[in-house]
Amino acid sequence: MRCSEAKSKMSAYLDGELDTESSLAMSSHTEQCSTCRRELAELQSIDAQIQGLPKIEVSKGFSRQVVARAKEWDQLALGKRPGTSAFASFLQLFEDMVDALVRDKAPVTDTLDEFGDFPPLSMGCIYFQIMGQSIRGQ
Amino acid sequence: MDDSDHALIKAIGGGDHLAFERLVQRYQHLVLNFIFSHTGDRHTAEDLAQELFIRVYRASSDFEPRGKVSIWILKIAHNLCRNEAKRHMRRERLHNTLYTQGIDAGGYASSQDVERHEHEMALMPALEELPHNQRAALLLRLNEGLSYAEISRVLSVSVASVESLIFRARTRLRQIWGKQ
Repeated sequence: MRCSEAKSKMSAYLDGELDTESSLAMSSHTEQCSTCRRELAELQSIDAQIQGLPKIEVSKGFSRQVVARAKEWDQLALGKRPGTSAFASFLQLFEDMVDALVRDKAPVTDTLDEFGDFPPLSMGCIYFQIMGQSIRGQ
Repeated sequence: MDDSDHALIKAIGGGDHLAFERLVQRYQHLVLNFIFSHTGDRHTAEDLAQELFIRVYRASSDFEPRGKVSIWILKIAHNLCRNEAKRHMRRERLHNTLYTQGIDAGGYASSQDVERHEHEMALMPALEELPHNQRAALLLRLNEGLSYAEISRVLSVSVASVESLIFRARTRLRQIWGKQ
């Protein structure tokens, strides 16, 4: 194995994603080549440091808060069930149509968002902030 | 009671709040830290984590039982982070918050702690410089231990793309690291 090939496969080798043959060839190469061996050690060191970065603990009562929000959502969903009157049915139909329209907009927003950030306070920035909040608020 | 992920999701679909709380408790640490590693802000991470679990709750009846629940949850987390990062990324925040986390965790008593902290301080800006998908792929591999195939499902890209993303992330980190 050449050094160029070894360098291109080093990352997948570290992750155990190479097939057996390539993995054995990598092991053999790094045993013989001090440059690639050093590079591999550097990558391993960076990996170890990323894995050692501090983690945060979950706040006490987090799961209960989430469950409470789910129950609130249940209540809202129940409240949206069609009523017995024709007017209530009409209202429900109207709400569903609005919901469908807003839902349809969500992927479009995500897609447009892909084009990049807008300058602060620009019309584009304000529009996407409002749309983001509206979608998240559902 | 069967408390496998799939059984919990099925129960949640039927409105079982106890099952939902169990699922939240099972994944809250993973989700919170995954989001925190992207936003660098604890409060934002908790808000987004709550939002994620509510989405899981609402969509549980539509969940495709052939897939892994963890992959589904991480996929939602990734999408939330991507959208949030584009709107609110502040380069200093992750750096500063992690510094505070270190102090809050009890300070740096020994010289080894100080040395370790200096490494963290040097590594975090480098990690932040990576494009979102590269950072996500690398963190999913290193912190969550996902295979390339699993990461490809979370990020909705091919396995070859995952290999390339992680390769480029490591190469970039090594270059930045080498300059210091």
